[in-house]
Amino acid sequence: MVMEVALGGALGAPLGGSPAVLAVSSKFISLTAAGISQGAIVALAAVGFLLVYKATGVVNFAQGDLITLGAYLALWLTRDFDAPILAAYAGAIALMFLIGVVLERVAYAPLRGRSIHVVVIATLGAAIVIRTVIALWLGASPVALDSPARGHLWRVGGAAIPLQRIVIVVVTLLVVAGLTWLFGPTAFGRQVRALAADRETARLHGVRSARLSMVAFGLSAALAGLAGVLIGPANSSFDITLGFSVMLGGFAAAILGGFGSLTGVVIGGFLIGLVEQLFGGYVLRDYRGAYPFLLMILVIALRPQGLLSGRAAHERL
Amino acid sequence: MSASEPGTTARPEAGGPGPAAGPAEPPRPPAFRGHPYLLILAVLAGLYLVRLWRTEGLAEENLFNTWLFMSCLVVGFWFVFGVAGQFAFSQAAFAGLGAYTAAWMTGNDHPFELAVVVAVLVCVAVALVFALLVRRAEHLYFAIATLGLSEVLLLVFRSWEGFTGGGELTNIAPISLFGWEVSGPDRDQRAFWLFLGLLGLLLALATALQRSPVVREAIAVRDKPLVAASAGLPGVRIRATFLALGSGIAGLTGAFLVHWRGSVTTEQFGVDLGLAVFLMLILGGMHSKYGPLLGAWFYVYVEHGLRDSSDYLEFLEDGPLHGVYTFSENLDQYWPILYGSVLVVVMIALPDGLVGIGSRLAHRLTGAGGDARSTGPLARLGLTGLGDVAARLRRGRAAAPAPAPDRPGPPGAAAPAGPDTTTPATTDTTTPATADTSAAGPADEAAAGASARAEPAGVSSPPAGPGSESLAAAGGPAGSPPAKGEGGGSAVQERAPAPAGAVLTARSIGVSFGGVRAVDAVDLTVGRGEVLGLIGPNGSGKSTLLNAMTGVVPAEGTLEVAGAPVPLGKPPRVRRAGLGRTYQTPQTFTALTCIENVLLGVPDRRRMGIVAGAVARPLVLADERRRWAAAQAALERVGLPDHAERPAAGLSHRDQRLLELARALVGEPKVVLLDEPSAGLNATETEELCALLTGLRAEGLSLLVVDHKIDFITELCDRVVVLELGRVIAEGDPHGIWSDQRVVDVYLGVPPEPADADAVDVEAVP
Amino acid sequence: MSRRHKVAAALMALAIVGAACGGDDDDSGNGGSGGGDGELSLDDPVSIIMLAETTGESEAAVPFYDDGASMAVDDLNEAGGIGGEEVEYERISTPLEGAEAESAFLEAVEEEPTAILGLPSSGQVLAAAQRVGEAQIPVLYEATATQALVGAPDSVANDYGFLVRPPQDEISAGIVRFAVESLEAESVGLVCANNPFGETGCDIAEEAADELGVAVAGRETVEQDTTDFSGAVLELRDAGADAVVSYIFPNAVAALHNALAENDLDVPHVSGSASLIAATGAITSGNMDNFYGIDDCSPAASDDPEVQEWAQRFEDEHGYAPNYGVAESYDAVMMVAEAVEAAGSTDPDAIRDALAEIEYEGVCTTYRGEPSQGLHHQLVGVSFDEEGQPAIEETYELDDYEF
Repeated sequence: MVMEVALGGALGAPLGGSPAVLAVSSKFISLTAAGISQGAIVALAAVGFLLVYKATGVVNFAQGDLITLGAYLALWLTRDFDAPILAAYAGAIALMFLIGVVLERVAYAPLRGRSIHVVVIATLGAAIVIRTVIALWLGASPVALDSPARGHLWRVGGAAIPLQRIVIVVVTLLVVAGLTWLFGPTAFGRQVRALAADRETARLHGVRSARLSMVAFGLSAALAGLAGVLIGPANSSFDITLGFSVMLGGFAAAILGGFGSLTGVVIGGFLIGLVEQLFGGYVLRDYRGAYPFLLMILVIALRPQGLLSGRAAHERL
Repeated sequence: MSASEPGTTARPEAGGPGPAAGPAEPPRPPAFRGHPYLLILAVLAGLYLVRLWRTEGLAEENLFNTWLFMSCLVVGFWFVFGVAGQFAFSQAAFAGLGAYTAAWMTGNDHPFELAVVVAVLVCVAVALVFALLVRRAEHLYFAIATLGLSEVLLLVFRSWEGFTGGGELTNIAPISLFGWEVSGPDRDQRAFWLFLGLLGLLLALATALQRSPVVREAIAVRDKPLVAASAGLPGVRIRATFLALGSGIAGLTGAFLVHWRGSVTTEQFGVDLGLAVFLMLILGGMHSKYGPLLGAWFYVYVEHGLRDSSDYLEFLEDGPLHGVYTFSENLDQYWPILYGSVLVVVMIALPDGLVGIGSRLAHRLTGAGGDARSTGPLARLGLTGLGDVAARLRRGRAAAPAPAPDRPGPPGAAAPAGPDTTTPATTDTTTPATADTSAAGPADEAAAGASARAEPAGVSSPPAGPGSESLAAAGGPAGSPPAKGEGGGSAVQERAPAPAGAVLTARSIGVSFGGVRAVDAVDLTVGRGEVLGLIGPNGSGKSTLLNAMTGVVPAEGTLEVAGAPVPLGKPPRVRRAGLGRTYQTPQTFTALTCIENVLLGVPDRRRMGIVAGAVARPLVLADERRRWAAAQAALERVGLPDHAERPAAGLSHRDQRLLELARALVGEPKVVLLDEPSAGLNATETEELCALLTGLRAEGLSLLVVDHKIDFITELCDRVVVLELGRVIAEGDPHGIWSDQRVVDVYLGVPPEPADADAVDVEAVP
Repeated sequence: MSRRHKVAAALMALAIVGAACGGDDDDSGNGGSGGGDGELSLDDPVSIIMLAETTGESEAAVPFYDDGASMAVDDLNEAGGIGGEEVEYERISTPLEGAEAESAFLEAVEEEPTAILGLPSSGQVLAAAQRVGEAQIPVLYEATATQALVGAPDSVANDYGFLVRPPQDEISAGIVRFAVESLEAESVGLVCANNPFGETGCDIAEEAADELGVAVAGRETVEQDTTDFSGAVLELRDAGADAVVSYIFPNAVAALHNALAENDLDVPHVSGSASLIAATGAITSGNMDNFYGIDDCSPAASDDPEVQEWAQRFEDEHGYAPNYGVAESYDAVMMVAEAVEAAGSTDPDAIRDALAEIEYEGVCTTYRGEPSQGLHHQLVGVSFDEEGQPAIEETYELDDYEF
């Protein structure tokens, strides 16, 4: 069950080394792996809201709860229908697409053209409803979602890395590559860029912004579903707050990367994860949870356009 | 800003006993009208009566006090978001900071009064540091930064045991103000008086500030930060001041809260409350300081009522749904669904919040007049302005302020047609493509709208300018420049000698947008009393050059005004050095009256701050009178003597241009940069403008005029500079310049792009 | 089907109430209450208000309190109520947030109930405590707030508030005691959540380890929503911990336990919230035999046939096995009934006095009144089988609480 990986001397911890050296380096490896996987989780959560943001200019504050909903849908499909786990994932993601479209119709489309504050409040309202529906339907007690990779470990130099977290890193990179392509040469990408450049003119030129925004919300919710079925099993157990804390990290990652940049959000996510785990693993450990946000505020102070982007921050928002 | 008071909305329109009525009356600056304090007293008395009649028993008293407490907290947030437009989720965390600071103080045997003061100061200090750190973040960026700040503060509350006891404190001393304690059997009654008094003080503070210049400036910074900066307003300082004010109020209410309740846990100041504060303000209505009361009422009472929703659901089960549907056993558990749905419904039905109901009713009752919509309290209070901000947020670019459909003034029917202003030099510029466009745009609104939409012509190209406002996008390089520009050789041809005593000297001005040289090493000089014309095809970099010189786009080069060097990139410094400007799309503050628009540009900035506004009213009033007189003089100078009291939202296109000019003139500039002042004006209006500008030159003012109407330029200017592809290709006498083949090529040789809506202005003078 | 259960419930309730009354007669038959034997008649019906949320009303809401109390009220009424009157029961949805909890409490007070139950979170207890003293209505807190006990540090106690659960300080110490005495740990590693619950728990654990004469291998503080414990576990492994005790929230307990196995720290792990997580499938590491919990009681694992029957009846009705929260809610209602019988009236002071010296054998434990106003003096150490079903390893009887 456990994949043993022999460790080369290059990592600084030869198997014959002193226990102290071994311990120090295994902690370092372990924390690095934790940081990278945390970064991937955060980035996976963030790409969902970035997609809607790029297509419609709306930041959907219900995105975290959509992630939670995705995990619970998969749980429901395995539990009540005995669906095979991968089929349950696929079903959950498909259902999430529909839910995203419905959400767009119900909570966003009626507000098109309204002040952004109104839209934010509406997404907050939607978040409350989603959370309550989950709790009423499947309960608020901790639950656990299965996964083929669950319980498997990858051992590197005394550190054990759960396979699920490696899966998340790989999937995140694939998703970002896919989205980068989607926003690139495809018709969807052209239309989104047209809308982003000039909504009125794009509409005059036949970009169907209503359909585009439905598709964007649907895809974004499907991505939230994907994030849910991956992040859910990465937690030993979770409850209906699963998505919310992940989302906060997602916002911070998005800012670090320069809001709107897909590559940037991945790098921002990794940075946040590594800073929290590595820096927080050794220095002022009680305040570890604050590091991502301090980093974010620092970046806004020194380089508001994000670490990658060359443009000013406010331009994108 | 007294007009935020519903009580003053019935004030007479222009033509009544306004300031224009006669020189005998002492000038009454708009910020000092009305008796809004009576309204506050009425609201407080109303609250007292409601409590007296409707509130029985401890639970309802407690709920009522909670409502008042929340109202105080949200009034604080109203300063942050409602006035200064800062998208912050940190109000709850600052309440926590104040709460723990004060509890630590009283826990160490300091008196409560001192504890409150220290708590407020700590919150103000933290807010100021934070605001300066994130001074370059706007809107959602700022929102997320405040979410991060909340998380950090909460973590500190949980982790710093010496300060917060790990977050959980009990047996906190009761509130004791100069011997008056909120304790004992009647402490709920006392708490009521306390919070009622606090609410009254906060509303009075809000009113005092609304009647001082600072709120006017905050609204300007909120609605159009770059325009405000170019008018000389210190945007960062104003935003930081209001964040600090709101956060200080949060700290104050937090300190009262924990000493009222006697215990504290970190959870009560979590992100949930941060979002709730936001919710309360939006729900209640962010454009009125009474919005927080209504929003807090909704939050406290509706949630509470819905938690007892089983009563209603049982009624349904026994009545209409009998035998049809049975809810689950625990009916109360449906309340969050109802609550979330009610939120969405309220936001859809009442975009102005609950206060909007009252305003609509008031409008129904009083709104028979033609101007009623634009002078209504909503328009006055920045609704239109915020709508503009929101529209810009969504589009990432500018929207022209939509003229009110029922605005007064002649229909600008003649704009594209104006035959009497044609000149031989420009007749040939008409092309089939532009003719089509002009046929589609019959009125000056259309022209204005077209020029607002003009620049990012390539649909698939991202916006080029770095600003969040139209002025950055305008004149950017995205509009495809004419392909046939062949004049690459000598950049300057028959350069006329620069007039002696140059007022404005710009050297080697360059602007790059992502590798594109929008402006390339341009030298310009404007002499004293000279009118310099700057012409060139669309996309040649004229507006960008103006933006570079006024500091709103990053640029290299040097700038001297009246011989003194001025650093580039700092709009207020440029403004103070004596450089005024107007914009291609008129940039007026629709949330303000005309005179308030002009007042923004007055260079005398004494006692403009929050402290003076709150406590030094007579001195501020004296300053405001002087400023008001200057602003009124500027309005008269541009020919809008009767417009002082009118809301800028209802102005015609022409009047908006004149208002902008007045705002520039009141700053006593040495030189004014005018960006397409004739755009959207019909022939008559253009002639009037020409006469006005000629008069200004006669008074010794220097002008730099960018325009497409060649006859206007020819008539007005002493000298003309021609730009193409960011370079100066010709310079000289306005009549003689057309003998230069390159200039003619640039103007005539290349058919304008069909999508190039800017061409409307070119051919508006066929 | 349900009717048969109700009959069984009635019989069960009669048995319990009867037994309790019998015991009570021996103790306080000469207590001066006019009611005398058996036939109690009351002017007003007994009314009980539960202050708790139930599933869906907030993120953390659980159904235990309402389910347990409702079942007790049904049982009482099936058996004829108290004093010939049906017991009235109402639940008021009570948010965790202090101010809102205070409001809900005041709302309850206005209905002038015989007793108020619930306020399951310590924050609620702290927020409402002052009002409890003023309202002069007996309140049975279903929380572990040590500060609710008379004489505790930072006490918010008053004459009317009783604690139905063991105080948190005792639970925290019991966790270490179980690790040392039953699991033979000699060097315990502590994992603490970064909040008052976690930090106070670890402080007490350090004291307890000191008293028991064992070493503290290390103390790791983690954020309350931590999902990755490898760093903390590696520290404890390197420090040579031979048992881990944790003061963290349920989700984190599972993550921590899995991290222990993943990082080759195969030592016993004891936690206060283990039983909430054991049956969820969250423990994926396969070493359930190293997983232990400390609970107030474990009705599902009880070997008492009456408790077993009760637990089965509850599970049939509600679809889940009752935990200590259900049992204590049930017992709290029964204790109110017991106190009314003893007082012979619904006079709050008389009921309060009866509660202060109550001796009542419930489904969770045998409660006893004492000067600190804590009623619950028992902890159980439990282990779990592969399905997460608990088995009682050890039962600790606690002394009166003194500080």
